[in-house]
Amino acid sequence: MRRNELQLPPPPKNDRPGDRWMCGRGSGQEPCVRGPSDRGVCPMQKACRVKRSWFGRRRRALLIATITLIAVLLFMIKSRHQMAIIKPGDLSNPHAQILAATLTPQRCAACHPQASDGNASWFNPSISGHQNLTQTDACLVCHHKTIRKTVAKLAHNLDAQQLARLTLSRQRLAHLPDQPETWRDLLPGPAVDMNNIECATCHREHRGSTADLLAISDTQCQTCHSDRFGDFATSHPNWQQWPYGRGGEISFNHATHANKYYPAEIQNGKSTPFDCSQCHERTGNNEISRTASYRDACASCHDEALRLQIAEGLELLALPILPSDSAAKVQPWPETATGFYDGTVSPLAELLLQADPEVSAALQEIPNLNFADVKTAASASAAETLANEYRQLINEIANQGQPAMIKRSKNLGLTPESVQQLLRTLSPQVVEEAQRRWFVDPPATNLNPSANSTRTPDTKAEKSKLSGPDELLGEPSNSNDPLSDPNDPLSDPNDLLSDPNDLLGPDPMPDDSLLIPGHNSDADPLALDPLALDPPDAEPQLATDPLTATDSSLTNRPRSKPAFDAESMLPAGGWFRDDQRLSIRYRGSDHDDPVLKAMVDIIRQLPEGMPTRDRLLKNRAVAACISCHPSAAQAGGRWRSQPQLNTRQFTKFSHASHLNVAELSSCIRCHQVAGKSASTSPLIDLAATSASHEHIEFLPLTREVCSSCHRSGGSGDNCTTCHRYHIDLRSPGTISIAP
Amino acid sequence: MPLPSFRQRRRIAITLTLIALVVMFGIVWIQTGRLADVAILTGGTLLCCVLLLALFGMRRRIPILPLGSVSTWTQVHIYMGFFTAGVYWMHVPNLIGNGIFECTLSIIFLLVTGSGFYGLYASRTLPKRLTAVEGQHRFDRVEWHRGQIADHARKLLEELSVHVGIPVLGSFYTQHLNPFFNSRPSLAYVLVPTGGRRRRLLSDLKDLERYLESEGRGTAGRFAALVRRRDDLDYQFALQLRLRLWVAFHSILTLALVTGGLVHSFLAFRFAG
Repeated sequence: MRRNELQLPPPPKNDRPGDRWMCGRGSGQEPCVRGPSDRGVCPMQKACRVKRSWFGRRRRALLIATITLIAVLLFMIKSRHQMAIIKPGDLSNPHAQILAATLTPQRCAACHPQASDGNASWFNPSISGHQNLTQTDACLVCHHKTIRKTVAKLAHNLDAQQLARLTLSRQRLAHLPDQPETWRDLLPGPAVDMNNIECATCHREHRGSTADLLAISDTQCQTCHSDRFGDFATSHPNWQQWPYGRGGEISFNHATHANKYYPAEIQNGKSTPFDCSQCHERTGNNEISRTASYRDACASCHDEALRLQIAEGLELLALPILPSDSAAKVQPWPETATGFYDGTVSPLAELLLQADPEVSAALQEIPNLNFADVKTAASASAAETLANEYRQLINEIANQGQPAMIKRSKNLGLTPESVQQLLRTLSPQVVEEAQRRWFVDPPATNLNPSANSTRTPDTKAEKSKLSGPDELLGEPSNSNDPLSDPNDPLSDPNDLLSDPNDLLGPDPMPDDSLLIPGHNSDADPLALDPLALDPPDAEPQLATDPLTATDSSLTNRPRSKPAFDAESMLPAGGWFRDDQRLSIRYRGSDHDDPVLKAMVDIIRQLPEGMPTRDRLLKNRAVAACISCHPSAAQAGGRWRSQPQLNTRQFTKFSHASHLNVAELSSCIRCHQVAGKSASTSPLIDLAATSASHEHIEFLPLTREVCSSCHRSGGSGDNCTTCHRYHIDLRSPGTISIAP
Repeated sequence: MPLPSFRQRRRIAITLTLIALVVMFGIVWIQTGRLADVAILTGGTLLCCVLLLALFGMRRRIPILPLGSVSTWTQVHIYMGFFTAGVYWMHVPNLIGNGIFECTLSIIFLLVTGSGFYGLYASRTLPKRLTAVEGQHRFDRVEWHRGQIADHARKLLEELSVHVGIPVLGSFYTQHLNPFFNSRPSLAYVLVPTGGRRRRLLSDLKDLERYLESEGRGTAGRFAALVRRRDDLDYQFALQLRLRLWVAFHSILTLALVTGGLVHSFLAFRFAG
């Protein structure tokens, strides 16, 4: 039967497009005319079971879906698991404890200040108390110890001035022939303000527990840079000086040592090999130490010469030589310091004398601070002023001790600690004795304190002597002396020392010719001046007991006692009095001499260009220190080389990982000392690029050395493989930015 | 000037879509390199595209306003859908977001996109298959037509009470035709409408002819016609149902997507930091 022969009735036309309900009468029943109402009610008396049309069913599904959506949204808003639901992903492992652990109660609010507010603030942010609190502030709550808040938002954590200097430096290098312009230089600049970079600009969270917070592309690294390049192996700029020229604190020339000194050092018929590991040892964490100790590395060759140099020591002060008429005006003045103008103002004395403006003016009058150049009346007057001041200074030190010098140095802005270090071993008694010998009782004059003297005592020793006769010396006791005791055996003139029946037996050598020729053994041996051993034609007055001498005048008596031999008497160094030069001096002892070190530390505090500073630097002992520790006298300088590890410099490098590669275990693979023809080798001249003007004795470390492994597909060639973003110029070892 | 052909218009549209995607990708790449917040860029673009795509549904329901033809809107909807899929990949390279809410939102987007691509395929293939089958039946009246066919088949059987074909055809009707005519098509048939059951029934009816005289054969022939009619009806029902379900699925998920997208945008701005 054909299809068109099968005639089926047409469907009823009682429904309209958009109707949600349809008539439920079947094909065998009489259909209604109008169909069900919009509410689904059959108008017929015998109502049918209305059915939903497809449109009605879709509307119902849509309604259910809408209600479900609203329910879900309400659940999201009201649920106590709200944050867990809207969290856009797990935190990285370092931060995961913020949400998972119980240590941080704020949870989301630890990083998102808005999260601590109620839901109402979602729609009205003004009621929040965190209007000015940014996410970066939240980051720094934990990270403020590694990144200072004041510079956290600055590019590279450097201020604008430092960045500008860097930019100029790079721009200069960018114009070098090996830095052609590429298409990358045409890309637009950064989309961030380099003075207001948020942490989230580079560090994106909620990317899973294993996500790398530090991940950043090379393009992103370079977007702020004026000079951009592609991959490391082919287009990274060749570095000019790195890793050298980073301000090493120890001045050591590898080239001369390797090519000249070590080969010249013959041991067992062979020249000493220049072994890098002798000084650059492997540390516990498989890194390379930057320097070795002086004892291990330098002493074997340099100790003797160093001792000779530092033995020169320092001069605290030295009395100038004045002519007799000037000396008469500054009495008391040592006779031995009288003659033609001579002497210089030592730098240390200059520092101490500068405290007084009048004295400072007087110093200016002395040409070159050399008394030998005093020729005018003004300079002569200034010399007298200085002489007085010298005496006053000595008096102060003798009476007040170290505080007097510290007080004078405070005016120079020197820290008390550094001055204390300098003066730690200087006993005021040395100065006091100097005062006594030079001004009060020179060795050739009567030192009997009971003698008539028109001078008032200056020293404590003098004053103590005025209190009565010296009991120990067996002098006749003073009846007014409360301490005198007639029964005191020590006051017996027939003391034990002269008793032939004493336990020690009779003196086998009553004449004691070994001690003092012609000496009367009955007299008090302590009353004798041991200096009476001098030749008799020198000073006949010294044959008498100086303590009983009656002549108290300070007459001109030439010195005759031998000079104090500091070399033999002070091999370990120390302060001493030089009666020949009428000076207080310090003799250095060894490497790491604390006083010389303190002197250099003081020099570091003095302003650059200060003449006194320059003179101090010329001191032989100081110069010996500075020759190997050049930065110790500079602002911010140090004595010891600071390790480059764990410092926040632009470039980072670890020997540990490289030393695991057999081909890289030899130092000379990367660090090649310039050869004997150093003048012709392509050494790096830092004079044009470094403020330290340090000459580098290594052949340049080229990019090709590194790119043999660090290339695409190799050991990593991203910017962050070798470079840091967060810089801290305060960390030790960080170089200063070249101007 | 004659309008370009459909193929030409399609080529132009695909080219423009690709260019737009390339430009968008370039902008995203540059902005990423500039340390800009690219997620805001791609997310904002994505939201705008989704809203524009959703407007198509509204356009279909507002025929009065002069907003352009639905066919034009359909073309814009299709190519914007491609563009949106590309922007989504830039926004969510992993395709599925992290976190409960964003993961759900990602799945909804992918379902909407997937259903959209299916709809593109279905809207190009199903109508042809529908028109290949004779007859046009409104979806809501398919049930009524089924009833008509079943009633007709019953009447045919009743007319066979006077000759020997009754036990043969009656038995066959009871066993095979009655279930066929009085029940809805199976889910398997609705999902994948094939001619298997149709061919089986027709083949069985053909095999019965050896047992029937001429009148019985005539009745068997009419039964066969009814089987074909019913199968065509079921085929159309299946394909129409597929299209309608697809539209419902796509539009309901679009509603969820728009709602979720707006909430996501709000949260992103609020907690952007």
